[in-house]
Amino acid sequence: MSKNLWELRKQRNLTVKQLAAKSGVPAKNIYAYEAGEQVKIADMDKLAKALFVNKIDIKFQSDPIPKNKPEPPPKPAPAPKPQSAAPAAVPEERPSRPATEGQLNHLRALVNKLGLDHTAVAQRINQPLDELTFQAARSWLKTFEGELKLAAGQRPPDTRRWRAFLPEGVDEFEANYLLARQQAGDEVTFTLLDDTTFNGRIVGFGPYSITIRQADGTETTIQKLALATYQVAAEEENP
Amino acid sequence: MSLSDHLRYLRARQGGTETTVVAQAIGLEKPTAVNLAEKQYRPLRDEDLIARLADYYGRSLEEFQWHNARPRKYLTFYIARALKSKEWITLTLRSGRQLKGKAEWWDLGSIGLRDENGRLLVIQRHAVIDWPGAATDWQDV
Repeated sequence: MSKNLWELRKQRNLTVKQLAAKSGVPAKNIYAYEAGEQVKIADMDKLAKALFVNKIDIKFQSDPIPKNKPEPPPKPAPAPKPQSAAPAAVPEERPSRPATEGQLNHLRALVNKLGLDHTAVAQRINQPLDELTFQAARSWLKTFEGELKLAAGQRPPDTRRWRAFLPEGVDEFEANYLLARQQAGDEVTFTLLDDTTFNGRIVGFGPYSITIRQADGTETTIQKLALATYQVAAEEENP
Repeated sequence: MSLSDHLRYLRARQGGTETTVVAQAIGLEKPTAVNLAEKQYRPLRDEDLIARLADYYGRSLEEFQWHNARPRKYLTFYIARALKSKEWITLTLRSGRQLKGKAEWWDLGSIGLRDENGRLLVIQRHAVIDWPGAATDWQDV
């Protein structure tokens, strides 16, 4: 049975602020949800993760918190500092401190990685690298790091695994297996949930279906949800 | 077969009724809870929803609870443990067929099982209905 958000939060001894920090959902949203506003789907996911529950364990619309158990009142704002009679001193402008050795080494390394000429870089930043201030060095580090990231855009594409949305979808190992069988042109025997079988060579597959060509040339698409098992036909499988 | 797999299976057998229609039939305004129930990897905790869905599909509550006690996460635990210890596994499919062998790999949708003849069989996880210690011997993984 799903529960009110505030109940789940209190069960875990969390304050609204702590839950906000854990979940990444702004505290004002959590206050609103606990007061009865409908939880946004995106926030529901984050809150469920932070509370270690399933999404459906949280009510989409919480009942208001009973008044006999009021939330602890927010801490009073700190009292304003007593104003001194003397006028506030105008802060003196401090001289910028020079860049640290670490910053300069990092900058030189970035310039080398980008394949830039040090003289050209000095012209670009209007002074030699060694004379940069701490703040200026920090700013240029960001700039060169950004340029390096852009240059790295020529790297091979992201090879992270792709996952189908529904649980029965073709995932990593199965995709590799199907692709290998397709490329080898193996005859594969597919058995459905009701024990019906189909034999054929894989023509292609998607996240939720596999298309085969049977011996008589008929193309059949098998829905993954109807499929139980499959294996390479006995006479073709390598030992 | 977990309850989520069972729910998708039953809905497909009905001809792929939209979840919005299912939700309305069981008295819900939105299909969100039905959609989520069909994609659970852990047991569904909303007993009321389970009862309503069982009623909608004309199945017994016990049947739904039986499936709910065998979620995908527990099957993952069984397979991952056997893969590590190189133990043989036994899987019972929806048709009643029992398969034995050594797990060679697993992913979200399937299990690669090497049988006693050394042949690799790809088993769909949603077809696995039971396994030893399914509802009792598990850890969340």
